[in-house]
Amino acid sequence: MLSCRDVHDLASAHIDRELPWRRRMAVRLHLAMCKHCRRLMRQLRATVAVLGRVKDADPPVSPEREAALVELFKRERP
Amino acid sequence: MSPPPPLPDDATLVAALRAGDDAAFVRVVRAYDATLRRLARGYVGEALVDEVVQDTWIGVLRGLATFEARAAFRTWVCRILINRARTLAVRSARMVPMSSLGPEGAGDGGDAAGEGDRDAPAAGPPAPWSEEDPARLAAHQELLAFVEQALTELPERQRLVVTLRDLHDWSAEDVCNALDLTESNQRVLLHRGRLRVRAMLEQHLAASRVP
Ligand SMILES: [Zn+2]
Repeated sequence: MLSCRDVHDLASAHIDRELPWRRRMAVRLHLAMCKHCRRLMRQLRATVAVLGRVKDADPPVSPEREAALVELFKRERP
Repeated sequence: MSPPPPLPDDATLVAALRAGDDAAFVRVVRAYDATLRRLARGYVGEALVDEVVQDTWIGVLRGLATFEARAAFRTWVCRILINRARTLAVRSARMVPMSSLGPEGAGDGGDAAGEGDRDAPAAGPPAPWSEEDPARLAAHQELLAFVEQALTELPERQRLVVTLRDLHDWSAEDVCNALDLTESNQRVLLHRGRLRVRAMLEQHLAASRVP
């Protein structure tokens, strides 16, 4: 039987589906019975999801910057 | 904005760059410039980000002739960025040179599974958030900006691993190669970094009742 601490330590591996089947089942069993760990898992998933959206707000490379880097490329290329 | 088209495989890409193909270089810039700028921001203030990234592109172009495809092209580019950023950060005295990518970077949890446990779980269970739905959370620009800021407060290696894995979708293998980490260190750093961001989100969402 996994402790809350065990589940805490395995949370990312669980989210990333990196756990072997038996461990995965043990985590799921714990989650079925422990609302604190369910909340941690839910919040960690949400954290990863939000992190994954951060770059959506990145502005594209500006045409000026692109032009400047192409100039650099022409100057430096082998 | 639509994402840029995927890059060709490394061998094709490097051959095109060596042949002086401007268009290939533009594609590389579009694919990696934002990643490099974000990594640089972890080391230096906004005023120096341009310089670090510019230095990096120069390093990439000058290194192309001798680049050997032992690791992925992007991991090589990333290593150049980190070297430049660290050098400039030390010079601009924003960072003391003791924090290191090497094994002596203690305290960030990447040393051994049980060590560096400064962010052991809080004694209490996690507090509920005012909103826990990922899609609704991610719809808030303010929250994305908060998370971006939160990342800068992570220890160096946690920040790098989380940024590359979770923001820029790098594989664990490429992250290990770029940062000289073992697979297990990489996993611990990723987990610790995510836990810290979660904890910061918890405080933020409890305090401001946002969104
Ligand atoms: Zn539990």
